[in-house]
Amino acid sequence: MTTPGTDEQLLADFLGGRRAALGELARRYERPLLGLALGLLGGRRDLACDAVQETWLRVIRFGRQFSGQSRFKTWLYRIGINQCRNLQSATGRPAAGDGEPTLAGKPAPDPAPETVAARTDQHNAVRRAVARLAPDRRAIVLLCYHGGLTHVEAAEILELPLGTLKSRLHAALEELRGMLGATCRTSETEAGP
Amino acid sequence: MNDAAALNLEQVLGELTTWSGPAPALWRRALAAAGVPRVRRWPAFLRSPLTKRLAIGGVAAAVLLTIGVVSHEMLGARRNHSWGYFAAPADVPGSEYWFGRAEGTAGSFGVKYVQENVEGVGVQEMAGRAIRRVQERVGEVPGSPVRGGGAGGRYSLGDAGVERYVGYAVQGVSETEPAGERQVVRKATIELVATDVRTAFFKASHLVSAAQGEYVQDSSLTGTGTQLQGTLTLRVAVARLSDVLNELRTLGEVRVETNGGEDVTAQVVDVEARLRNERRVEQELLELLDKRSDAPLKEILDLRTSLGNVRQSIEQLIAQREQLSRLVALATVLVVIHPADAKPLPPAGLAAYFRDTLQRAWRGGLTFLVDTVAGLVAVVIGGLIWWVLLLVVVLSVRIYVRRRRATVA
Repeated sequence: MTTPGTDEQLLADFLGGRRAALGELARRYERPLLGLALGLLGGRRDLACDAVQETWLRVIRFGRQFSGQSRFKTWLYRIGINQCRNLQSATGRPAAGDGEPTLAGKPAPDPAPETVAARTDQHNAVRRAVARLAPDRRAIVLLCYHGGLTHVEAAEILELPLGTLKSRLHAALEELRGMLGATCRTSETEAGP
Repeated sequence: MNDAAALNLEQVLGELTTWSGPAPALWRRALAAAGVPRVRRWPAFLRSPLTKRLAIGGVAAAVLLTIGVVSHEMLGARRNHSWGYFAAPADVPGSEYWFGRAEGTAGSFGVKYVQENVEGVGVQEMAGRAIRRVQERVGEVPGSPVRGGGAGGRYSLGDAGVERYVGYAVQGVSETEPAGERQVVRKATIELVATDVRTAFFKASHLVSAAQGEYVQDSSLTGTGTQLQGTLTLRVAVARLSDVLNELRTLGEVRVETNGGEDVTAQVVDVEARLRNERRVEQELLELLDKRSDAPLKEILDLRTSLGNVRQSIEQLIAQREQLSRLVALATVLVVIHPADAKPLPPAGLAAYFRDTLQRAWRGGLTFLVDTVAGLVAVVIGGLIWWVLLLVVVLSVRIYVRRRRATVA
């Protein structure tokens, strides 16, 4: 029985001919990548799937070029974000309300119809507001609130200094709040995992 | 939006980047799109280089074993190779018959039939008929290919003659190697270092017993002083080979001694069988010549030519048999005698010196490697009990020290 191994070991195994190693990497990262792509592409699941498939395709084709200077996770997310940007430029800016009308997260404990409708409205409002952000700010906001990523990792992925990332995040959140009005009750100091 | 649905921006942003539902395994589609082939890998137990090599070695050994067994069987079949003569009625008027040679082994059968005076397919059919009769007698499958060539002639024989020749063919083909004593040509080489080369040389040359037919095949005494060297080739009776070698060993210090043998049983059997058949053919041809003195001159001349050929073949076979008998009866002993204080000849040049140095270095390296491995094996296996005792002592000391430290703490 073999141990799962690090991401870099799995990539090396895959490049050595073991297809299952790519499956293990996908088991770790495919769902997070799909979620991030979903956010970046305005909730379009079909585009998110395309972006992630293209991401894996590039891992397969250019895996040998991974030098190991950064972590695999960082490298993979960078590819994923680039693919989302490519798709955005090809399909146009994500329109507000392009995404699914349903909630992407877990169902709320209170199944009252009016509460569900209100939350859906909130999501659509936030989605529309995020879609109106500049691409770099949109990526910063979504990456920083994407589950499983720290600010340090987000800074690595976007190749920004940590301080720059935080200041841009602050500015993006202010812009979002401005768009959303006074209903926000969060602050940038609370933000982020 | 109202106050009741106060927006938690952090939570909503997190939910916007969360994928609901199972992952669609896009990596598989990407693999298919990239055209990455499935790579057949060694099973886990073969991934280790050692086990992989052992497995390959095992397969190679099995293949070699198979080849060896098959070769042995084929050689065995070759030893059963034999031959004989046959005659078959020709499909031409006048009760003429065709005369030829049949030869076969346990696994195959072929016939060399008469090529001269062959007219049309009918002759081959008649020859084939004889072959089939022989095959039926020896249990071969009919329809074996007929091989052309060989010597012989066309003779007019009666039915009785045909039966006799076919009978000879059957007899010849069915002969197999007798399970008698094996015939082995013995050879030995002994290289001696003697203080007095000349004395040792003459003593060695007198070891042969003329009464038993032994002799010195050749001898030479070359060089002078420390370069003096004696060489003898003795032919001694096989029964005395061991005694002669023992006496040679007393003439000096043995530097090199080799002993070997070559099995010529198959050759002896083959020569004997061929000789028997040739003699039978000769006898038959002589009888035929006596009976058909009124035959046409051309046929008589052909018969005499065949008789001459058969006689020549008999003589050659007898010579071969005698030569084999001599080789088997007398062992060959090559004796080389060097002086005790002989120094090795200096190398002929720089290239020879370089070659010798390389050879010495290679041999020295190999010797060192072998010694090292042998030493390691001796230390590991020979000292196993001591290693176990040492381990027990070390573990005991370690446990004692730990307990003491714990007590102090």
